[in-house]
Order: sequence, then C-alpha cells, then structure tokens
Amino acid sequence: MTITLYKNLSDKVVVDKDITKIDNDISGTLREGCSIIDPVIKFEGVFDTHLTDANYCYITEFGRYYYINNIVCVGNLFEAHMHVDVLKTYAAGIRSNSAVISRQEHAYNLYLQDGVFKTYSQPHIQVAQFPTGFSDFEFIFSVAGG
Amino acid sequence: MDVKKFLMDYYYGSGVDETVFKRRLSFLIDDVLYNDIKARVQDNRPIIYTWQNLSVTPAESIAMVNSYLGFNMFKNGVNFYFSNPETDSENPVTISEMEKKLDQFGITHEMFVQKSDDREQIERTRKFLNGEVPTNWSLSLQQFMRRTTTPQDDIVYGLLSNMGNYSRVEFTFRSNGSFFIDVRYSVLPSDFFLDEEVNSAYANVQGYTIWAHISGDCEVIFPFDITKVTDIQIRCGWITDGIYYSFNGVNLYGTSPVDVDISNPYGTGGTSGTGGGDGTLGPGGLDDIDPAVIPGLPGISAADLGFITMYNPSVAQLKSLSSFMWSGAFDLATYKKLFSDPMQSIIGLAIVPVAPSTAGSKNVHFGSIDSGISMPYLSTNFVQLDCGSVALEKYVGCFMDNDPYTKISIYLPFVGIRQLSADDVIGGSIHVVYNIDVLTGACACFIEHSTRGVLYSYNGSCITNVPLTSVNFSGAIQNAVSAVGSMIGIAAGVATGAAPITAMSAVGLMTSAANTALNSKPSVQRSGNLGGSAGILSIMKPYVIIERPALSVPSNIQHYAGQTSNITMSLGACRGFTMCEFVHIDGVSATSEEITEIESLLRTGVIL
Repeated sequence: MTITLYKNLSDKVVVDKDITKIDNDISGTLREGCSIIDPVIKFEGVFDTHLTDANYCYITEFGRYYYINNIVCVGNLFEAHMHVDVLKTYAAGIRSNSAVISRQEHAYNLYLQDGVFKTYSQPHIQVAQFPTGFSDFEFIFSVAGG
Repeated sequence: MDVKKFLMDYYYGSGVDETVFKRRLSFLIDDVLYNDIKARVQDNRPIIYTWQNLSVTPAESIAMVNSYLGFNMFKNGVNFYFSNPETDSENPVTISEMEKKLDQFGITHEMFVQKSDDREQIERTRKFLNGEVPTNWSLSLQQFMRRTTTPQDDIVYGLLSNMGNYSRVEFTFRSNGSFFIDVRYSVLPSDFFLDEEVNSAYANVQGYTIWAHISGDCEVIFPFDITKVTDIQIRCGWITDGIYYSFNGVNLYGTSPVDVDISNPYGTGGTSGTGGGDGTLGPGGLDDIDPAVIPGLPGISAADLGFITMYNPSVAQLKSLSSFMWSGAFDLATYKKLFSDPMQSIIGLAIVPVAPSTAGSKNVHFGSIDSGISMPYLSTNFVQLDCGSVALEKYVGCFMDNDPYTKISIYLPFVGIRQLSADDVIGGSIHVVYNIDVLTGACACFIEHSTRGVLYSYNGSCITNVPLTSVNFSGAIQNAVSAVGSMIGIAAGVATGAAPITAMSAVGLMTSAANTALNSKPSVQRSGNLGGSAGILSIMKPYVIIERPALSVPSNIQHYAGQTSNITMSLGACRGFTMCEFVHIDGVSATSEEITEIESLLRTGVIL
C-alpha cells in the first residue's frame, strides 16, 4: 500500500483542494481489515516521516483521497483515522453531472426571493412630490338661466 | 483558451516559445493545406528539404493557398498574406477583393505576384520561415493550387465571399465510435473560444449531416448517447485530418454531457436563466399591455344648455353683486313673477381649487333682472388638471424592489393617502391627472403608469360651498354626489388597478361614493355656515411616499452563500459556491455511501 501525505489548506467543501505534498510516499502492507470510506490505518516505523504534519492523503490502492481526521499514538504505532474526500476523489465525475442549482456564486437571478437577505429595521423613506398640484382658488357663482 | 499555445503543445509539445512557433506555424499550416503530406519540419531544416522528401518540386510546394486556414492563422502570427490570384484563371477572386476582406478584418497583409520558379524568392521564403524578419528584402510567393486533391478554388472563393458569416460547427459521426466536430471559421481560432467555451457566435447549425449542435449557451446537444463516444475532435479546416483539437473522453473544456429528457413537455431548455438582478432595468415589453389612457373631458357641459349660467367672478365683482342684491335697485316685484324667493335663482357660490375655462364676460341676470354687473362666464363646467409625473426607480436591484418589501403610498389632494402596489408601478413613472366638475365639485383622480396605462382611479370632492343664506344645501350636495357617482362609473370601467372603487357593486356605488364624497369634502350646512374646508385646507400637491428595505449585505456574500439561481446546469460549468436543490449523481463509480455523501454535500453547498 502506498500512501501519499499532503497538507490540505482548503475547506472540506472545496472540490479542488489546495494540497501540498509532504515527505515521501509511505509504503507498507495492510495487515488488518480496513474500510475504504473511513479507514483506520496503523503506521509503524514512520518516525522519520512527517505523518503528524499531514491532514490529507491519497491511498493509491484505494484510489481515493482522504482527510486525516485524527492521529492516535498507540505504543510505537501511529493510528490515523481517515475519511474519504468524495469531492476531490470524484471531482471529474461530479462535474460531468448536472443539477438544479439553488444557489450559485456567478449564475444567479436576484429577482428570486431569497431568505438569506437581511434588512435593517429602519427602512429608507423617500418622498417625492409631483411637479404641479392645485394652486388656483376661484369662485364659481351659478345662477339659473342667466 | 490560448489556441496558439494549444496548437504548439499539440503539434510540438509544451515548452516551445512563440518565436519558434511562428516559424513552425507556417509548416503547420502547410500540413493543413496538404493534409495528406503530414510534413514535420524540424528546427533549422529548410522547408525545401521537406518538399524534396515529399517528391514535389520546390516551385510547387513553396507556395501556400491563399486565404483558407492559413489566412486566419497568420493574423496573430505573421503579418502577411500569400496570394497570386490574378495569375490563376481558375480563381475568380481578385487582389482588390481580397484586400478589401483583409482590411475589413483588420489584418495586416501584403500582396505579391511572383513566378513560382524564382529561386531568390524561394530562398527569401526559407529565410522568413526560419524566423528572419523581412527588413530590406521582401517576400514573394506564388499561390500553389493543388488541383488534384483539394477544392481550393471553391474554398477560397467561398471563404472570401462569405467571410462574415461563414463560421459554423458541425458534428459528424465516424464509424469507429468517435465523431468530429468540424469547425469552419472565418475568424481567428482564438475567437472561436470565449471564456474557455466554444463561442456560440461562431456556431452555425446549418449544414450537412448535423448530428449535434451548439446552442446559445454553448451547450452541446447530442441526439445520441455521447457516452459511447470515445473521443472528440474539433477540426479546424476543410480537408480531412486538418488541424484539430482532440480531447479524451467526453469533456470539452469544462462542459460535460447532460442527459436530455426528450419526453419533457416543456422542452429541453427550461425557463430559468440568468440575466436578472444586476440592478439594471430591463427593456420592458415582456408583458402584453393595452394601456387604458386617461379620459378627456366630456364633450357636453351644463354650461352650454342655457338653464344655468356659471360665472367665475372676482372678489370685487361678488361684492358688487352682493351690494346690488341687498340694495333697492333689485326690483323684487318683477323678480317674483318668476320666483317666489330671490335665492331660488341662485344655484350656488363655491370655491374651487382650479381655474375654470371662461368664454367671455356678461352681466349677471336674476330671471329678467339685469344686475348690471359683468362677470366672466364659464364655457364648460369641466376642468382637467395635470399634476405631472414622478419616477419610481428600482433601488435594491433584487426581489426587494417589489411587494411586499417595497411599499408605495400616494397622497392625492381631496382624496387622501392611498396604497399603491410596488409590483404595479416600480420601475416606471406615475402620472396623476384630475378631471373636475366645478359645478358639483366632483373630481376623478387617475393614476397612470408610464407603460401600463391607468392603473388606479379615485374620486373626491374639491368644492367648498360658500353659504349665501340659510337654505339647506343638501340638495346641491346630493347632486354633487350623483355627479361623482357617474364619474366613478366611468373611471371604474377604465381602472385596472386595485382602486377601492372598482370593487364596489353598481348598486352600492352611489351610496358608498356619497359617503366618500361627504366624508372627504368640507361639511356645508344649509344655514350657510361652512363647517370645514378640509380639502382646500390640505396639501394641494400630490406626493408619493416610498418605503424601501434597507439591505444589510455582507461583502462577497455570494462566495460564502451564493445567490439565488434555480437554474439547471452542468456542475462542470459552475464556478465557485454552488448549492444544488436537486441532484442525482450518475456515472461515478463510487460506493452508494459515497454517492449519498456527494449528493448531501452538493445540497449543502460546495465550492467548485
């Protein structure tokens, strides 16, 4: 098994992670059963690596990128608790799909009602007078016949 | 997309600088023109070497076909143009025609006519193609017409004669499971792409064997299962196996195949789209409007009949009249032959807030008694007052410009304050006009939208009766109310808005209108005491009160939370924050748990 360690600086919701490779790949043999979704992998003899600096990795055999959620020292072992990063792993596949987009950063229409909008309690009050109005006062005297 | 770099990378690998590319581009075009030759000229190798390898004479091979692909490719690369059309009887295009086209497209060019066996020119060409800039020497080439293989005459003529609208994209299947996107253009290759997408301006579905097309949003619609296609090739050129961009898989620079549900009765396009909410006003006219216009004044008038006469006296004239009536000059005996009471001949004296139309002056008569006091008399009892317009601009540039977020009220003299619907009037201007009957004081107020016509109409009374005696004025008031009711009946038929009067039944109209009139007009008693002139004592000019929401918008909110979209689109085309309302992930070989997580993340928002 070959594990490539990375330092990930991106939020989990970012598909294209900003990752930097750390140290050389770690190669070894998987001796216990392991989930490919939430693998827990024990490392032995990796003191000369920078395992604890990593928060992200790629496991070649699994073909997936993983978040390293936690690293637990168990004796002389490092036990890395991981979870698959489905966004980066399947980025191409995700992009090949379409969806009904409810919110988007660039493709939007602000005339759709949006509950995210907030307003101050003091509204803007504008008063505009019409150019003209009633200005003349006249008498009207009406008589029959006349 | 940097097409030049793409071509460089495609043909020669990455890392080739532009200087080399210019030289190589010439050979590249040569490849295209003689597509079956597949010339691959190396650095510092004279082009003539290639021709020799190709077993053609230098005289034939050195030239390039005028126009065609090289024409465009050279625009950003080498600023000249090869042509010898006048020496070729099969080419009907003249130099002047070509120059005109080149000038039209702003392409720097030179024209040469040269014998093909001019060794000096061949050598100059070789120098040029090897990167040497022509300074004190010129370059001349002969057009080479490869008549045996390619329809160059037709190409040249067709291109030049249809240069403005020649571009098109065609998709054709190939038997081996792939298909070509055949691009023909009369613009630069770089023009063909816009923001890394195929520029729809140069996509034309007209042509033969069209298997797919590019729509306005650069959406490629295929009438077949695109997943069975092994590769996409965008070929720029006429001849088979010309220059083409090749893409593995089915992705085309950010675009992705989307299943088209042909059973959708609403079609494939949907109705949602971008383009709104940027704060600019739209062109309007999207809704059919046959606007109701403000009515003119009636063509008949009580003043025309002779039964009554309406005067527009001055204060001094009224004082003189009063003096006359209470003086001995008033012959009561004569008067009583017609009326039992002198006041019976006086219909009323009132103050109105508008200047009536007068037709001249004449003496006031009470029956057969001439008062000898001349006053201007009215030609009609109807007057129209135009208060002008007020623009109601959109302000927020989003849904909050409309109801119920934006509230608009209007004050109308003699009517009061009324609420207008922002949906009705925002984004235009409103125009207020009064039609007034100075005999009864009834007034009909119309609010006309700049594009939608009269949307609201209200009624009121603008008269203040001046008591002359203790005679009960209720009859006169009732007459005024009746006139108001009649006016409202007309207005109600015109109004299309939510004016209160339009909701009244015909039966209740009179009573309600009467109440409205009595409540809004000053109270006049028959004793002659004027209880109040609320209307005349109020503000005489209409005004609008617009209450707009004060938005609190954090900076760059769209990056963190996006903006409302409601658009079906490819996720590959999305950039930045994206939240899906409905999504089904297909074609991804992930576990079901992973698919569920992907869809969950997409519904809560990801950054693509």
